[in-house]
Amino acid sequence: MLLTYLARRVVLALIALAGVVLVAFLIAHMVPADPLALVLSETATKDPSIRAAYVKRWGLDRSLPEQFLTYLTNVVRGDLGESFTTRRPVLRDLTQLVPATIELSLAALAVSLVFGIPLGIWAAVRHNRAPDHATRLIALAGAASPIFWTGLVALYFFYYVLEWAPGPGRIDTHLTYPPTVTGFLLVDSLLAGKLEIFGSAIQHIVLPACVLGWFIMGIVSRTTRSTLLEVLAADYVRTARAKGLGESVVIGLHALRNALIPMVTITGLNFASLLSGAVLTETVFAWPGIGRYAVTASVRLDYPAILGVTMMTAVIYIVVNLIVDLLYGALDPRIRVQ
Amino acid sequence: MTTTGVAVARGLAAAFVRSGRRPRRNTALVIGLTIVGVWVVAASLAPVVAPYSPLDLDVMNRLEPPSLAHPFGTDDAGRDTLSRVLYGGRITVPTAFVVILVASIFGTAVGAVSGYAGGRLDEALMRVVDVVLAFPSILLAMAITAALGAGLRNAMLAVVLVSWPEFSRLMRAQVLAVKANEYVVAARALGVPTGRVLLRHVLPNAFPPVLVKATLDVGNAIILTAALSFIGLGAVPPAPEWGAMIAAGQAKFEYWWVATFPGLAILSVVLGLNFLGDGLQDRLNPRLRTD
Repeated sequence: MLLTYLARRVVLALIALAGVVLVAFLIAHMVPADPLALVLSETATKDPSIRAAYVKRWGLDRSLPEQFLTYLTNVVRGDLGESFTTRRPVLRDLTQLVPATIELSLAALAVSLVFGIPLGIWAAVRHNRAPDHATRLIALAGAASPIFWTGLVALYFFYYVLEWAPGPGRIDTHLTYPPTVTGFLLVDSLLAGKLEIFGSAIQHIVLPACVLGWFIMGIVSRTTRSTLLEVLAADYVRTARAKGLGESVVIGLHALRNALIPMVTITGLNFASLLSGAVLTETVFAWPGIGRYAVTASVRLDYPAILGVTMMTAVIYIVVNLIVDLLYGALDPRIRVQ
Repeated sequence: MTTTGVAVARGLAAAFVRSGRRPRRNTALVIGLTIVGVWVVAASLAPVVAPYSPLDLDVMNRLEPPSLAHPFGTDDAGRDTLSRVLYGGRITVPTAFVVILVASIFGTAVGAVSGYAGGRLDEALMRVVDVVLAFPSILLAMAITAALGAGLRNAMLAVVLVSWPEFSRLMRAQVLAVKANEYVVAARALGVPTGRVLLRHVLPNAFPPVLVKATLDVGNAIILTAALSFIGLGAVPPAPEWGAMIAAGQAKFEYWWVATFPGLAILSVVLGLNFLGDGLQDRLNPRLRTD
């Protein structure tokens, strides 16, 4: 039973991955320009020998389905073409930049859970009273603010007016990056024993992480609230209360444990929102991750780069959700039956 | 199609009447209707109420802070921000509405067919939906707009292309639930053709949640279109589009009003739409009530 479940999830994920590459391929074919302009810079398209080499590499002289197969094979081998802007293989750019995005996203996720879960509990416990309405308003406002604007407002107040937070970027400009081991600055600076860099990195990540975290905190608090309300109506919670247990024990030990299981799924589904939000947060905060790379690439019509980021984020999303599905199957045996 | 329209209207009316039997305070609906109503009126009357033209340059009054003459200040070309925010509503609100109208029609059609047909067709359509949903919407929209070329029309098309799949998932689930009802089984047993069963019996009853989602998605479409314009892929300056206006005020902290007011415009209209969606949800489907 468990094996069938696992196998089905993995097969579905593989189909979705192939579909993602197909979508990227189709977008590349929507471009009205010379298809070689997709993979070659302007000067290179004029050189016949380079043209011929690329026609062969991407199978451009063959039928569309064959072209797709070539594209798929190249992508699977990690060949996403070269960026016109950086003139380096897109995959190399992405692997260098992705840790910054993941670091920011994880920090934002932590912010959203640390604030969202208690807010959700508070709303459920004070159901239909002032705290409940307040958290509903917070959630609605979070969903209604354009993140690129929230980021600017946050920078205005905390950097320009109050001078509490440092400006955009990952560390102070006078500091140099520690040697790259993991790519996560907070880890690498500690590995190198550079506490000054670590401190600067912490200061720089707080504001963008809060902006991005605020963006999904509403979803976290609303989900916590609704699942907790559901669980609070369950028989075993009534039993716990009937036994005379205190309210904090009933909620903290009995109810919350089951209420938080769906949070695993929500976190997985939120990963797409998180990555979407990261794109614009990185742009506003000059954060050197794949989101800012994608924005620069799309404005300069650097197709290999923008399609590379798009595919990579979709792959991250599919893999995260596959892990979430598997985790959920392990946490809640009822799911496997479906 | 008109008969479907009538049936959908009748279904919605019935849902409203059902909910009206137990009069209950629906603050969210009232707040939402008020905010969205004010914006619709302000945007439609912009040529009358706006104090200045949204495009006229006034180099003598560049980057003026808010004052009585310019309540929201002026931008770096001396254009009046209040007038531009009001005119911006004429671009943003109808754009998002059209985008979601198209996306919801296409998405629900796919979902309805998928749920009603079942089997392999259902499986295939849902895999397509999965793939589109795997992309972060802003990135997919950016890639599509970059491929088609920057501009508001292409940005709108991109937002349609990323917005339809969730409607399919929702509609499919609705159709699966409605399909099992006796009146649908009866209609099929009577030999009513499939298309007619879908349009006359299934669709109207599956419609209320789609309306709620569409309301919320108009807000999302506003944010997404503004984001594309902010990046430089959507509306082209000097068009008074809110996202583009925020981009113009970026990194000019001493001139805070340039980016603040268009941002507040987005925030307020989207908040209004979110309240409206929440309130509609309470009204149309008491079982799905958020409390």
